[in-house]
Formats: sequence, C-alpha cells, structure tokens
Amino acid sequence: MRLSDLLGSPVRDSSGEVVGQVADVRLVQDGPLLRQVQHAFRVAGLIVVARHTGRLFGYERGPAIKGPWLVKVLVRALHHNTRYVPWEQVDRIDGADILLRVPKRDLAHVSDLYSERIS
Amino acid sequence: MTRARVLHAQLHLLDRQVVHDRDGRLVCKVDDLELDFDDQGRPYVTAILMGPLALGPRMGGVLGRLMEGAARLLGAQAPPRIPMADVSRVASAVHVGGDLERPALERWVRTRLIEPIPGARHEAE
Amino acid sequence: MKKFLGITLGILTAIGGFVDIGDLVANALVGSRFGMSLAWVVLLGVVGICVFAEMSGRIAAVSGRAVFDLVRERLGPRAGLANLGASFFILVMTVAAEIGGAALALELATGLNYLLCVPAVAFAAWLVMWRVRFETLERVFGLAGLALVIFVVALWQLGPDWGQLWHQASHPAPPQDEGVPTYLYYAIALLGGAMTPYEVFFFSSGGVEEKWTRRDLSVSRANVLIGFPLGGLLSLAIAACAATVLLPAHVQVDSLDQMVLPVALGAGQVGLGLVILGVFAATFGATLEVALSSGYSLSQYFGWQWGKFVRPREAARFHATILVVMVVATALILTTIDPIMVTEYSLVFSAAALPLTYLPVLMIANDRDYMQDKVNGIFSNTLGTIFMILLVAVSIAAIPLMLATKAGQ
Repeated sequence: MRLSDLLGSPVRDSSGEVVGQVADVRLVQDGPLLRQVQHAFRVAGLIVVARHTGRLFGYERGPAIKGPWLVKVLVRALHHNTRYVPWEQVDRIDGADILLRVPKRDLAHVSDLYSERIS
Repeated sequence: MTRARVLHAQLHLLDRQVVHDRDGRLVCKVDDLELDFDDQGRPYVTAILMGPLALGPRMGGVLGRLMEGAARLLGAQAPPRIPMADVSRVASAVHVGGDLERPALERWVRTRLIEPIPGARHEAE
Repeated sequence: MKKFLGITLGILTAIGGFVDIGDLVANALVGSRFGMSLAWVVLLGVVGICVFAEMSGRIAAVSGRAVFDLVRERLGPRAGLANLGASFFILVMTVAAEIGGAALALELATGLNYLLCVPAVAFAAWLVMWRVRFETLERVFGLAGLALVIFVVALWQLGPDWGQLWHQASHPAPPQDEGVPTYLYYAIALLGGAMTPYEVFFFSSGGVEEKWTRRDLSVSRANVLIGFPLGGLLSLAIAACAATVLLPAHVQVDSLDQMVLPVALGAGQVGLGLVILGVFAATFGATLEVALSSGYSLSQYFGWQWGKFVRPREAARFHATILVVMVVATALILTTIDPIMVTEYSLVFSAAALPLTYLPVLMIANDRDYMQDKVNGIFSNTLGTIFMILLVAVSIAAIPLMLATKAGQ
C-alpha cells in the first residue's frame, strides 16, 4: 500500500456519516526496527478536514509556523473543523473509504494534539 | 525516556528534495511512500518511492495516467525505491545514505545527449 | 573590489526584471504615451520584488533550497505543475523575445538583418551557459548591462522640464487622450514585469550556485537592496527620456530604434554606441537568466540535480532542458514573429504564475523548521501580505483588461 492511498480518502464514522477527507497522516518513529538501525515511522493517526481542499500548509501545527497573520487566519477559518483520528479508532479500509469505529462526535479536534501534547 | 520523533507525512516528507549524504548530490523528490503492516495491523513506512510511476498514480487524473503510461512505455515496471533504513535525517531536505542507482531518464539523457557534446566532463571555467 | 562585485547577482537578476527587451520597450512606450504618470507602479514593483527576493535569498542561504523546489513542496504536485506549465510557457516566450531583442540590437549596430544574427546570438548564449562559470557569467553581464546608465546621463543632457516630469509622476491619472482601462492595463503590465517569477527563480538558484550560507545573509540583502532599485532607476530614466522627447511629439514607441532616439539626441554618437551596447548586454544577460531559469524550475520540480556548480554530465537533464528551450526559442523567433509582441501576450500567463510563486515563498519564510531563527519579522510579513493581496487582484484583472483594451491599443 502507498501513503497516497490514504491521502484524500473519504472518512466515514461508525454510523456511515462522512467526517471529511484525509489531509495529512501523522507519523511517529516507534514502529518496527529497520535493519537493526532505527525505528520505522508508524502511522499514528489521520488528520481529517471537512472541506474538499485538502491542504493545511502546516498551520495546524501550533508552535512551528506562526505567520503571516492573514494566511494563518484564512487557513484556520477554512479548516476549523479539522479532526484528528488516532489509528486505533480506524475500523477498516473499505475500497477507497476509511471506516471508523467511533461516531463523529467522539472525535478529537486537531488542536488537542498540541494543547495536551498527545504523542 | 525521549519522545519518539513525530512527522506529518504530507508536510514533512512528501514532495521534499532527497539529497545523497555522501556527496550532497540531489537525487529526486519524495514522490510517494510505501507502507507495510506490522504484527498489530498498524501501517508503517517502509520506503521512499520516486519517479513517474510513483508520482503519476498519486497525481491522478489525465496527467497522472499520462505520466504513468509514458514510463511504462519506456519499459519501467516498478518505481525506484529507497528503503527507509537508508534515511539518515529529515530536515529541509531528506538526507539518505546507501548506494543509489541513477534513474533511467538521467542515464539516457547523459549518454545520448550530453556526453557527446565537448566539455561535458569538465568543470566550467 | 571583491565585495563590490559580490552584488552582481542582484544586478543581473534586476536586468531581467526591469530592462529586458519587454521592459525596455514597455517603459519607453509608457513614457511616450503616459509621461511619468505610471512612475508609482515602477516604485511599487521595486518594493514588491525587494520583499520577495530578500525572502527567497534568505531561504536559499539558510536552507539551501531554491524557490521552485518550495513551490511543489508547499502547494503540492498538482498546483506545482500548473505553475510549472504557466511559468515554462512564459520562459520559452521570453527567451525567444530576448534572443530577438539582442539580435535587433546587433542589427542597429551592424546593419545586418536581425534574423541573420539570431542563430549566432542563440549559439553564443548556449555556449556561455554550457562552459562559463556562474560567477563569471553573473559578473560580466551584470556589469555590462549597467551601460544602460547612459539613459540617466542622456536624460540629464536633454535638460527636461523637471517640474513637469514631477507633476506627471505625482498625479497618477491617465493623460487626456488615454482611457482608464488602458492606463490600468499598462500599470498591470509594468507591475507584472517588475515582479516576474523568473527573477526569484534565478536569484534563489543563483544564491545556491554561489553556495550562500547563513554568513552570506548580508550579501544576499545587499544584492537585493542595490540591484532592484538600480533596475527601477533605469526603468524610470527610460520612461523619462521618452516622456521628454517623444510624448510632446506624439510619437508612439514600437521599435528599438525609436526607443534609443532620445539617447542619441541627448548624448550624441557616444551615447548611441553605449545604449546599443547596453541593450545588447541587457537582452543577452536576460537570455541567460531566463534560459537558466527554465532549467532551474523544471529540475527543481522533479528533484533532478541542477546547477552549473557541477559538471554538465552530473546534471544531464538540467542541461538538456536548457538546450531544448534554446532550440525551441530560436525556432520560434525565426518564424519572424514580432519578439516584443510575444512578451506582451505572455502577461496572461504571468497572471497565473505570480500568486502561485510568491505564496509558497511567503509561507516557507515563516516556517521555523526551514528558517530556524531567521523567520520573517513583522515588517516582511506585513509587506508580503499586502503584496499577495495586490498580486491576487492583478491576477484576476489581467485577462479581462487585456481583452477589453486589446492589449493596450
């Protein structure tokens, strides 16, 4: 499988309702050991935007990118409903769609990633 | 315990320039990433994929299919890959070590077009 | 001396933006039809390109990445390809026009028909890009293009009514016999010309060719702050000469010999010789800048090894791109198409490429992962945002205005 298969895929919650599209994939370096040298990057979760335009340009990451103010405000406004779905909440991949185990209302907001420092 | 490195695939890896550690040469862009599943069924990144056979399917649409078609016509079967174990550093570029094969287009252009022209092997003066 | 020569990259880049063949004729034409009433656009263009060139130079120095690399990285492969397509079209058209312009200058000097000079100019340009070191190329053509300073000298000698010139400049409105749409069309053409994307492609790639590091940030800034204002000054001098000599006579500039007429009047035979040399050097330099930019942008989109800092065989696809572009451009100009008209129509594609080029630059200049502590300050961000809004407005207005005024008739 390729990463591009995940990006842009529609995401549905446990009731079949559309949550949005995958805009980015969060990777954490705690996967299997590669060639005894370093850990692989494991898919930790999906960043799901409600709108069709999939790019967040990095403004969803709180600390590292701050300005310019107008661009940040516009991107945040366009994507204010962006959610973070940890991989544990994914049930299965059905064709092009990604199906979740939980209902939409239980999904975390992407800003929780940075305020609670989930790893 | 130190926290594991966190990256966002689209933001930090995809479409980044790949640079060869040993001589600083530019290799390619990260056109796509190959995923595999671990024992618990969670996906992890196994390799960087490059070239039109990786970029074409990712771009999709008419252009993507054209790109893929053209590459297959020239005889390519699978996109060249760089195993993730060879990746030494992810910064403003993705630094890789190991031995890398020259892409087909570069080889063809080099031997057919550029090398015949006098001065191709020399430093500019 | 070495320090002084270190700013030639900025000068050569500015030549491509302010006094290449398209701009030379546009400035003279604007001066002959509108006087100095569009001078504010040149100033605006200088500020705009300084802001973004400084950012792109800083990005190249701190991270070693040039602009088109970033365009694909931030906007993605599809939007990046759209930009590449539009930019490449402009680049090929512009190379054709510059080769034509250099050939026209040779025609003025030697009397040989310009079509005969075209293959010689094209071959010479390719040879320079193939063999000459980047630094040498930049120094020689940056400095040679400065011969255009004769326009400033000629203006002084012509003894114009400075009060009247100032009055025209400080009242930004079209003169009696020109309409507002035409005025705005030329305003957009001048602004688009001053901020053409290939200037930042070339400047940032040039910075990487020169192996800039964090220590060279002041060099990068000096290049920007000296090169582009100088280019703007030359633009204004050309317009002022035309405003002084051609506007009262109601002569509309549409050929190279009309454009150099004021200099011949103001500075005699010597002046004429210098201006022809300057025009040749500027158009030849612009040919190099734009052709190299075509190689830079295509290579940086796909991630190929690029640059003159490696042996040609190590960057085969980069050099092949330049070769193909030169051949296509030469063929295009040999079809006897008017080189100057060609650049006017490429404005349409500029409109698309401008926001798609400068937005990624602005975003990356704010990204700490790239820039560490050298991110944009409030000043750069404010100016950058204002210009982004302006460029989006220009993008939207460019094509309708072009159709409405039939490209400025």
